[in-house]
Amino acid sequence: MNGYHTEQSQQQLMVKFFTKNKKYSIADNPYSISSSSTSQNLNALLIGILKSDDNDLETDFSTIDFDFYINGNYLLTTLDDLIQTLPDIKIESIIEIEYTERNPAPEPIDSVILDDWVSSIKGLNDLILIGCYDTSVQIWNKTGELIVSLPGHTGPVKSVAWINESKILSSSHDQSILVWNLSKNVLTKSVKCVGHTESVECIDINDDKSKFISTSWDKMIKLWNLNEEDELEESVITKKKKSDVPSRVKTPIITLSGHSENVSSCKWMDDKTACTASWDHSIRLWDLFTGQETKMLKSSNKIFLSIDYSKLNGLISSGSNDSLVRIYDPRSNEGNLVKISLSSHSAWVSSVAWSKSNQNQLVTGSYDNTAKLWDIRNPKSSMYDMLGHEDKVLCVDWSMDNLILSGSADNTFKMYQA
Amino acid sequence: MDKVKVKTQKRKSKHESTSISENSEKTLTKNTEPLSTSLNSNGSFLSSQNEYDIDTSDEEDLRNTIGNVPLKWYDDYDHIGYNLDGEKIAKPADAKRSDELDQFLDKMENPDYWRTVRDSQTGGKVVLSDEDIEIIKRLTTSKYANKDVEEFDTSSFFTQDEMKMPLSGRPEHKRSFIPSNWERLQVGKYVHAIKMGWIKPQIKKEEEDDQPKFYDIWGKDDNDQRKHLHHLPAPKCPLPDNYESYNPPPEYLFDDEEKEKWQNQEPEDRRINFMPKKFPSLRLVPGYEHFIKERFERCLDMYLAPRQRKMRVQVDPQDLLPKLPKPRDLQPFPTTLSITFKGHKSTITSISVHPTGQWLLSSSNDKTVKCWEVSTGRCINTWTFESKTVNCSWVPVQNLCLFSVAYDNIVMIVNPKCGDKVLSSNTDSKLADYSSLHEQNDNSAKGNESDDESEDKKKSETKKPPCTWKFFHDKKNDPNFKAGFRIQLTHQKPVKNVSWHPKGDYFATVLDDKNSNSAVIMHQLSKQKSVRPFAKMNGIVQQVVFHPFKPLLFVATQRYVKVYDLAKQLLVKKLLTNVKWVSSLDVHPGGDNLIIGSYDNRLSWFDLDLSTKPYKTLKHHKKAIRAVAYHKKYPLFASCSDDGTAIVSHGMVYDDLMQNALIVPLKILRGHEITKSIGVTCCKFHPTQPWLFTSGADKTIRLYSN
Repeated sequence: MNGYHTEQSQQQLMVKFFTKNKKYSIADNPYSISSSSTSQNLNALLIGILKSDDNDLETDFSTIDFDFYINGNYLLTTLDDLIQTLPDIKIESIIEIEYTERNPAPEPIDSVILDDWVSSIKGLNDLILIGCYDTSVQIWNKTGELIVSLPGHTGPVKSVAWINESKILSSSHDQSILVWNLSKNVLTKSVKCVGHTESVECIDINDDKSKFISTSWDKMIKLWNLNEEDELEESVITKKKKSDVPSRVKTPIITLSGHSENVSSCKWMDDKTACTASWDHSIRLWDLFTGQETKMLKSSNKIFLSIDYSKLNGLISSGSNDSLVRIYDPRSNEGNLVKISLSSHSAWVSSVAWSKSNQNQLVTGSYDNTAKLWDIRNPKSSMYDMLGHEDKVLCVDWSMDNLILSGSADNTFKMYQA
Repeated sequence: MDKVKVKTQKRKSKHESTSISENSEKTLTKNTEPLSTSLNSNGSFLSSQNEYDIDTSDEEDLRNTIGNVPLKWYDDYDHIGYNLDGEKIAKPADAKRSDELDQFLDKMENPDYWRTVRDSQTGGKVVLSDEDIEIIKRLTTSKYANKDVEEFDTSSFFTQDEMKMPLSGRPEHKRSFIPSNWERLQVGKYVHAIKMGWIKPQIKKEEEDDQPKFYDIWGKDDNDQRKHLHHLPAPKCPLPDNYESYNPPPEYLFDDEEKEKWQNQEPEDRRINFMPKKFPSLRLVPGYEHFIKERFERCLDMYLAPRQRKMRVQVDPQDLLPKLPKPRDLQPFPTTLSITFKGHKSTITSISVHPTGQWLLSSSNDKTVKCWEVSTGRCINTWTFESKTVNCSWVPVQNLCLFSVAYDNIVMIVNPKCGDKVLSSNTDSKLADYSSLHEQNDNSAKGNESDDESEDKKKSETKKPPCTWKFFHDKKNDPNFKAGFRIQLTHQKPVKNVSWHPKGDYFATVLDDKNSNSAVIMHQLSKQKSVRPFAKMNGIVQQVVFHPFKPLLFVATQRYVKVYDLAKQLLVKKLLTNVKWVSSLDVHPGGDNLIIGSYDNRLSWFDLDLSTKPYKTLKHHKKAIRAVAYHKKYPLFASCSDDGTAIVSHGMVYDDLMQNALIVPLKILRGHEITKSIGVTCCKFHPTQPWLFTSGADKTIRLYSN
């Protein structure tokens, strides 16, 4: 069958186009096209059809590009190549091709130079929270202006998180997690969460902002409460620090142990489960009500540097100390745990972040100085490479729909319009 | 034996009896009697034993009236014919086809089986008597059936042997001299027939080799060789050529140019070893001047030429190598450069990885020691010293947050204050205790000095204390203390190397001392004491390493590795390295194996249980090996060299004492640039991951991960 294909490279295929976007829908007519067509050919054809349909000439199609998928598989080269990899598709029948408007390339908006390495970055409502190796936590706005810089940690900040616009969390090498209260960009109160005995590598807050988990080099995962009332009961007011900020101490609700090495990353999956990734080559799922480990996903001798969970597709993406981005399905129990491996980075993948709006897209940052935007339907190559950093990319973030953030060891963070 | 023969025999015997004599009547009866009895005994159809009932006439068995038909027609019936009264003659019971088993049993049990035959007429069995058998025997040997009959003399009257004298003196007949007329006619007929084409004369097979056979003196003696496979003939003399003629054709004679060329050539290079000359006649040819020499050389050729074929076993050298597993089956091991740690301004002399694997320490010729975060390559802290730092190493226990730095004559114990803060402060308080203890000891020592003076007079005169301890205190707001410096040990000679006991209390320093007796100094942190453990030590000490769990100390000198038992204070073993200059040493975490690297490019693996000689020596590096290291968890070891590479090898040590270690070179890790002919200075494995750190003269540290 393959030989048959290669012989007749100019074979005609009957195809139908469909889309989920009403704006670009066309009539349900089959078209006969050459099997050696590439996505550019299909694009030209489709725009021709759209132009002829669109009598009003309202939209300008010249700027629009489409991506094409057959059964959810991205058309990278020619139709022929793709069909040969899909055993379900019969060339005799009409092939249905889905097309979607191609996301425009992420445009670099701004690059901001800081004093030190950017270890962590998070966006919320046009505000950007940055954890920096110079021990400060900084808040920037989208136009590249520093709003506030919060010195408080005594070691490099490793992870930051938004609770809301006036409340943030940060964790550091100094083994503490700080909860900052800001009103009108003035620090009013900070609560110190103590318990970890090594640098706190990652923190993550649940959806209703009532709890958060933290992971550390001391192999522990700790669950903390964020509610003010509980806090008041638990906390003990300690003597004032040099920074003249009232500081209180908080202790964890539960401590989960199970990992045998540094726990590098954590993520809430729903209101009672969380997943954590560790240098002991495993991803573990935890039931936070009972404090039990519910599942373990093992990799082959590769440590995990970062994971992210997408609520849209229920998959866990992970960055490891090889150049692959592995996507795990935590729901499957059998077969290959790694659902997809995205390969085109050339160094450790330090950070992964799913899109909050598109279930197929994620962004990754790597020690090869690039951040990449991926569509998981196309695991062989990334959609867009965001070059520009001159050193290791340490963190990426896509929590704001239209803004991709990346922070690097070249002391800059960059913003891209997604 | 079948029935028919018996019958003929019967007939013959009757015939004889009638023809020979009256006496023979008796013989006849005698002969026939047993036969008839036997018939009677078997023939169930005979009612009586009356001998007259037996019909002895020539008619065959008239009792059966079926006539002359094949008896097999009755095979399928129960009877074999009809008697004179027309009644069926039943087959005897045993005549019915007995199966093979019955036959076999019969054969086994019946002693007369061999002489029992079946009468086809009656179907009954007949046991032959001795006489019958005698007759049969005689008949089969072509004798008369009756043994009383004399046989003819059969000696031949005419013989083919030619006699010396003819029997008759009659002259030969004329016709034996003249051609036979009949033959002539016969030949004439044949000739006519051939001429007419009626007979085709046989065509002679043409001989394939029509050519005359010559001995091919120029050919190779293949035939001979085929006959004697192992025989090598003596080398042949070259055959005479035209050159050698006394009167060669003029084109063979040398012209001037050729002559000059011939004379200028070395004798070995000359195509021919004489110059062709022309003589008008053979008479004028002088004696050949080189004759003796040529003969001698010929003799030498014969003498030196191989005359015997030695069977050499054809072995592919690759087959002799042991089958090693493929590197990709031995994963994980470090393969790719992942992180480069940049920041030092000069050659990095040593590195050390924290027991948790979170921090990396490096000492450099730029007088600094840096602490790095492994996961990102971030420099967390830098300490500056007065001189080039030659060594840094973490205290190998996780309950102390300390490391040691060696520079100049000094070993500095430093608290880096990274990691667990409680641990760090605990360490500080512990050191403070040590400090106060030390001061007490000092005072008491001063007090004791006067008492011990008489005893230790000589010692104290010759030996100064090996080193002085100085503690830094928190109280004085000391900048040194703030920087983390805790204890300063000042030696008398520059320190080359520091190595810690796995329990973190003892450590040994190697001094750059010509007097090798005082080159190794052992320190104890908890008692703040330093001793010179060796009274006598030969060779320059390169490095010392503690055994991972036994009280053993490995001391690498220039040529040997000596193993000392620290508890018994004995030299346990002396390993012969067979290298010129040992550069580095590391002990397997299991404690029974160690590797050394040498400045003459060799890496040797010693199995302490096997012998004092290297179990295996690897020569993969092209330049001096600077450092070797074992992985604590994975079966890996690495060596780094001045050729700018580090080589990772698989070194599996088995619990089974019968199985030797498996050593497979896995990967050459490149990346470091060679600066001032120094390549990679140090290599260390990550304590938990299969990663390798290497430091180089190019001011960088590189992390290779799997």
